[in-house]
Amino acid sequence: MFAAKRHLDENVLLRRYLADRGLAALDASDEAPLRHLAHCPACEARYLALRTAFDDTREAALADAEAACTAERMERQRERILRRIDSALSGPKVLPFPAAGQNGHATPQPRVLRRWVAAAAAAGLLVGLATGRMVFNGGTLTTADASRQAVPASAPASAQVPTMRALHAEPSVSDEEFLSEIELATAAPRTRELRAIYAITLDESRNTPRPVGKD
Amino acid sequence: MRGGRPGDVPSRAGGPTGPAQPSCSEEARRVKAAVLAGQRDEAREAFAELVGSYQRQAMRLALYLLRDPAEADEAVQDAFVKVFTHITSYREDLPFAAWFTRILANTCRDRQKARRRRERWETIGFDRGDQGPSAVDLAQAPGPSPEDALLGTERRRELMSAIDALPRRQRDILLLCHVEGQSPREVGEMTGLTESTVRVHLFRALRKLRGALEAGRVRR
Repeated sequence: MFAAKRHLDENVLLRRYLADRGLAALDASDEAPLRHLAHCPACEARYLALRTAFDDTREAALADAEAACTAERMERQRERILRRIDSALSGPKVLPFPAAGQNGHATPQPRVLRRWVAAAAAAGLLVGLATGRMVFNGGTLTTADASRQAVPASAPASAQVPTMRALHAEPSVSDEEFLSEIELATAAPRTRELRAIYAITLDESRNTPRPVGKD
Repeated sequence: MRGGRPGDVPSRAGGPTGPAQPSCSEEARRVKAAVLAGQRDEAREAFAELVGSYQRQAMRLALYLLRDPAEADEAVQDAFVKVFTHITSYREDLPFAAWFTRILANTCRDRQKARRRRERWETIGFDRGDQGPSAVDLAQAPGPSPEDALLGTERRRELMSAIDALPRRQRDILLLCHVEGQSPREVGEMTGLTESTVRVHLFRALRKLRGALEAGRVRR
């Protein structure tokens, strides 16, 4: 009887409030305090004040949040979300190559045309290879020529062209040598085709031995 | 989530109720089916409806957790985009609201961590824009008289400052359970806490809030 006449603790009022809101469950130990609350005007008034204060707080928090959720903000937010969804749906963007077309869109080439281009390129390569092979094997440049061309530039010029020294007067060749070479050339056996010319121009036969000191 | 079938748009307990909203779980199922069928236009249309149905509540939840409208705006956008990109992994036997709020809560938590990292290096505080309406705005606004509106605004600011003075976890749970009307089990799923822990935090938050309100009343 004595306990029932004591006013309720604040925690009991809180538990009662949470139970009324469905946020907590009361147990058997709360039964007596709740009976007291039903019959005590003072505790009832305290509970109502507590409930009003909490309800005011809730309303204030809701109003605070709703003040930030303006219609304009909600609409803008919705548009942004949908724009991001659209970009996710469309996938990654591929920028067109600048030379693809004037309007910026690459015109797709037919598959057959691309095959023809590839075949023509391959045929051109084959023809080029075959021509090059023919020219270098059967024609103008022989192996001997190639080997001659491959003589190093440091080799002496006399080894390359032996007759050139006789035909060209070089400062190093003496007059005696030059005259003896002419002698040698004119003393060579004559060819049959030139005998008539020799007969006209020369008074004696070349084959006849001349006496020494006659000239 | 109370006052309707599980997974539907939760209604604020005791708060102003809007028009009857369609089931978010049903809309999410439509989006998932359209995405799986490759019907982009239908998926987009169904998702737009889903966003419209749940957007406001999502914004409030993000605001409670982040306390910054701009950050909450970004978090809601990120959460909806994550929902769409992972809609195929949505389990249709579970309520959409629970799935979505968990994604949103994780997004908000990531933003909180990033903000704390940022604040270590920044000396400039956030402009939370909580200056409230000016006297001119109140005089021009329709509804209650300017005096009543000013007193209401002042009272609201006091109550919000009392809530803001709570420890962060208690404040979040108070806002989600007490203000938004989520059950302790739902808040536990969102925050990763057990249901009993949420109840304990809620009780302590209300007790502290009660003390702060009493102290403020005595000061006045």
